[in-house]
Amino acid sequence: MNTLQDSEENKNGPTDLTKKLLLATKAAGIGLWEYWYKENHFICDDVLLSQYNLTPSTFGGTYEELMEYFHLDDKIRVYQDLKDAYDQNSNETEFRVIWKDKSLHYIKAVVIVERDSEGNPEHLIGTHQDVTPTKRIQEVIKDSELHMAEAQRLANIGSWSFDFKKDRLIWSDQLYIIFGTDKETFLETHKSFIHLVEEGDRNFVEQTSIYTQQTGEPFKIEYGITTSSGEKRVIEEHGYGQRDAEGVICKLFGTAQDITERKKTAKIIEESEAKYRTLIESSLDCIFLAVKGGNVLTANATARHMFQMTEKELCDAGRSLVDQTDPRFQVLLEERERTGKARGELTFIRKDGTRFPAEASSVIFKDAEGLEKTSMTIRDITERKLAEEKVSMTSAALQQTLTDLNRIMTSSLDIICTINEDGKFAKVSAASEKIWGYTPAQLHEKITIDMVFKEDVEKTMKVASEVMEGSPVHLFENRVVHKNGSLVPMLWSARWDMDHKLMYCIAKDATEIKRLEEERMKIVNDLIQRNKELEQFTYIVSHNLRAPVANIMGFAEALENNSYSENLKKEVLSQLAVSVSKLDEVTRDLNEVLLIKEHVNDVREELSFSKLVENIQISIQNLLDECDIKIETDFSEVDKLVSIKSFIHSIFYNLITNSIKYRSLDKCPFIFIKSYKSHEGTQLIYSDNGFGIDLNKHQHNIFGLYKRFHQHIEGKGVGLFMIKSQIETLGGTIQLNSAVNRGAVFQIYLPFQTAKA
Amino acid sequence: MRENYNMHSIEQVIVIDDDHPSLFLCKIILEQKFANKKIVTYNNPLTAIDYFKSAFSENPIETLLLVDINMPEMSGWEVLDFIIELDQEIKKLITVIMLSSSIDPKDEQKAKDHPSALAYLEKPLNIEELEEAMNIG
Repeated sequence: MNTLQDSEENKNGPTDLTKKLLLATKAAGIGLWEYWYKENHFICDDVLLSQYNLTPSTFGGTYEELMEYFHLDDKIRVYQDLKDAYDQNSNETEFRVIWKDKSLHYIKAVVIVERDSEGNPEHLIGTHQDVTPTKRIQEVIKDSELHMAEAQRLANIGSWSFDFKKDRLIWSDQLYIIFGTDKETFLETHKSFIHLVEEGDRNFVEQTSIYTQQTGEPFKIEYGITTSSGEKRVIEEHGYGQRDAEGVICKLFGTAQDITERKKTAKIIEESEAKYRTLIESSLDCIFLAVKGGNVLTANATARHMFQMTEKELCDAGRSLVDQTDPRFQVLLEERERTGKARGELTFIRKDGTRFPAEASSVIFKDAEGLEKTSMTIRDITERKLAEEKVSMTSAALQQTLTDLNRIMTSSLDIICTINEDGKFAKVSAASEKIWGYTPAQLHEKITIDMVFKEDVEKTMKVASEVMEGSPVHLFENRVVHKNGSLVPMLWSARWDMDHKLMYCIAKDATEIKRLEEERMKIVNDLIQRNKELEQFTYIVSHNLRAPVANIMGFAEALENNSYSENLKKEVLSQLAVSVSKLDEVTRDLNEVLLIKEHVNDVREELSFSKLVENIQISIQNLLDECDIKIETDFSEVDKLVSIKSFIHSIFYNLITNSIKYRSLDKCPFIFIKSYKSHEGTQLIYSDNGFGIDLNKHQHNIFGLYKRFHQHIEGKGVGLFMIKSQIETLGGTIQLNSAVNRGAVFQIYLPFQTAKA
Repeated sequence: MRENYNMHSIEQVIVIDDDHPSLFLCKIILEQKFANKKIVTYNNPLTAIDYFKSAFSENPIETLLLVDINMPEMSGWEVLDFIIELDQEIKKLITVIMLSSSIDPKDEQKAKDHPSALAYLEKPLNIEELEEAMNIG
């Protein structure tokens, strides 16, 4: 381990001066080192080692070891500087050393080269001085300057100083940029500055400068300039006077800032503010601006008018302007909280306490300071509300009318309908479904006349055209074809509306009326029939019953007459017996006739025409054989019939025996019976080739009781009467076509009957 | 029809009735009253009409005609209608009396209203009633 002390001892000892120098260097913190080329020997002192945070005990002794501590970025440069030192005999350098504790230290080094006789470098002597604190200060100053310039640049603020005694004006770099002036051409005099200032501002700028030169008072002024490129700018300048040791003002210092943009913006803001203010003030809606959940900040003229309050009163009133009992208020507040905006109707309160409805919309926004504010516009909708109410009332009345009409249309038992010019249904009430089987929708646009039964079309068309000519019709009767094919009798009332070109009709289902009418007609007919029967009965009593009675009375009287011979009396007795039997016969016939009515409720059973006729033929076989009469039948179409057996038997029996009784004597007698299907019943044609009846003479009483039409044949006049009574009791009809010697054709119609117990 | 009746001027009596017992009764009663007169009964009015048309018209005599009303093929009224059509000379010899078992007042009224019928008598025939009718009529 070699130290300087060692070298002193090794090299013949240092002189006194040398010793003193060494002490001085040590005190100045200068480290020393030496290097001998030839011997490749390096030594250094403790001061130098301390600069590497080393001690003699921890130092290995070679310069290479020290160089390990050099900052990597500096190593090559230090080598280069050392090389340069060989050429120049000495050199200075600076480098950084990184201690083991990672701390950085700045070293300033000087090296001197000593050469041998041949001029080759023989011995190097160097010093190391730790310049870390100086270096740090320098860096700080440098940083400050940079920061200053950067700050000025960023803030667009320049600084200046003015030595008014020497008329020397010094500007920072930024100030040149602000004034748009070249550093090279600026004369650094007050005049050259004033020259840049707008003419109008020059006097006031100079006055300010002079005042401050005299008083030192700080100032703040604004003035306009024109840059060398001709651009107009606005400058804000602050300044003050600096006093020397004697308190005399010697210099002015200050800053200047380009506020052109700020001015412009301010102007724009001012203008737009004025614009918005005008807008807000002139708005017909109320406009409020408020701190969210707090005070009202501003309110426009409409607001003042609407609430009848001053702006201050409005601001103080705040939320009490709103009727907070209105549940919509809370809803709106919640919505605004959730979505940032809300709109709806609320109730507001005027100064005098009166309330009015209004449409309010409110928005939450953040102002420039980030404060949450709200704006609210309110539109008085009292008028609108009134109008709405009116409309709603009218509409409600209309709705009610419509509802009533609808109710009539749906609940009417009659069909209410309108028919247009083309004869199509325009509107039909619900009853159509029940009466005609078609829903109103199915009938819509359907041609009305198509619904009418074809036999009634002509008269319906005639009435319809009369109605369209202006004469309303009342209770016009026709039949409409039901969906199921049946006929529905209808009663129509109709009127033509010229204005709407519509026929307003009410169509009543006349089925029941018709039925009642038919029932009434039936009752009337029955009564007429009954009356006729009664008349007939009276007639029978007065004639047919009376005839044998009269005879009996006469014979009784004759028997009392003593002048009559015994033989004559015997004859009288015999005639009396005949009359008595006649009386008996008539009473029996009457009984039988009267019994027909009793049979009405007899059991209906299924009968066979062919079997019935066969049975009758068998029962009167002798008679048939005697008269040589032929009976032909054709029951192929209908053979079965549900009816009262005794009646049908009686009808056939009476017809056949009549045919036998009144058979033609010069013709081969025959009977022909045929059955047909007929409308809801059975048709029977019964014909013979007998005498026939002179219908011209007897048209009205062929079926009367005890009506006899043939003198030569003994007839009671009961058969046809019985037949007719029985057929009518069964709801049927009988008609006769006949002429003298042309035979008789009976047409019998029997309606279907249901079997009943 | 006739102004004066005289039972004794009657030369014959004709009865038209379809009822045999009635005819028989009329005959025996009339035979007692008109003992020497001709009594003719007709069961069929048409036969009687034929008689009036032919034999009677050729040799008309004072006749009492009793006609039943209710008969088949030709009623008593129709017989009356025939009589009224006869020549006046013949017709004036015939005295018509309607004889009916009917107790219907309408029949009596109709007979009284008929210009050819003298009277209406209810059966059975009674001589007293007949005489009375003829005298009054």
